[in-house]
Amino acid sequence: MDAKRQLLRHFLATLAYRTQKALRGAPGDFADYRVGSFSRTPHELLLHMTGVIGAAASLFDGEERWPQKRPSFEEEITRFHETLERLGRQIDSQPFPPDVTPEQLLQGPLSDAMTHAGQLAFLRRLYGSPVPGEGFMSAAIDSRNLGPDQPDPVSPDKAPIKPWQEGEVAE
Amino acid sequence: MSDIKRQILKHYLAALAYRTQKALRDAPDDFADYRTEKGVRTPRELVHHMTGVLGYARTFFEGGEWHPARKPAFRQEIERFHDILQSLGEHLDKGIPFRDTTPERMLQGPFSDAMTHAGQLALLRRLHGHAVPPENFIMADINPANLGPDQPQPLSPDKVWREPED
Repeated sequence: MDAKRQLLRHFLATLAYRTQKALRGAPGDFADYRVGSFSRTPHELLLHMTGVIGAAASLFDGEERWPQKRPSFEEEITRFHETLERLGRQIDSQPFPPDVTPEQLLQGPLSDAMTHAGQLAFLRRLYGSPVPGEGFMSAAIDSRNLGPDQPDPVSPDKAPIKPWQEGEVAE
Repeated sequence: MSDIKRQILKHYLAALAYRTQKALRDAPDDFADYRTEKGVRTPRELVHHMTGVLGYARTFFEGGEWHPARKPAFRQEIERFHDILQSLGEHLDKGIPFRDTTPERMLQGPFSDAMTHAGQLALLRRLHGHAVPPENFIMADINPANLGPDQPQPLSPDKVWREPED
């Protein structure tokens, strides 16, 4: 696999890892938590992330299909990872579409999904169930693993979770 | 390390510059210090944190530590964020070796971390009542030579804004 494909594939694995981190241990009703009248719930955010990643996959296979919301959050999470794996297979083996470069894929749907993973983590904090910190550079992110079964942190923060305080700089 | 991977990392920094500016462009003055609730970062604090995260990434080229103090004005905080982006970009351009890390770990760690925070800035814009207009980011004029605050307008803004985009 060439260097660009390797890095894009690793990015997808990072997305799988960070999304699972934002969802792991969330209370049951987090899925439908709506912080403002025009903001997405976690369930809706994940549906959108699936749509964005699926749209990227459609650039390879031409199968345009914006997803319908799944009845349960668990099903939505499962489909998100299935869609990541679909795109991962295409990045592994398919020619890039003639009108889309790897850089455009990264700047568009892949980065978009990463911003939404950040929003999921932010919603966890607003919900009162913040995600524990870790050193992400040490995380055991494996480009072959785009599924929902992601490892626990290798370098979790030793300090207990606390509200953010002025002066913090850590990753 | 492959020059190709450096090019991809640089492009990702440019996407981060573009998306951060998009989340900040035309924000009301009081957005900088908008705090949804106690214990949650304001936009000013988020940008400061993003600078810290990227400065931490730079230590993997230069060594040492990076603990930026807060700037008095939001505009200065934003300028410093772009200064750090440009500095990182120069390190990538010059082929300065990574110390004890890989492009993959840089991407999975501080670079992606900063991107998640750009998403949080956009969410805060929505919660503040001034949502960011949607666009097709694949078509955006994102240029790895431009990591500064002067980012272009969308080339492909959504014609119909049915749902404010984050």
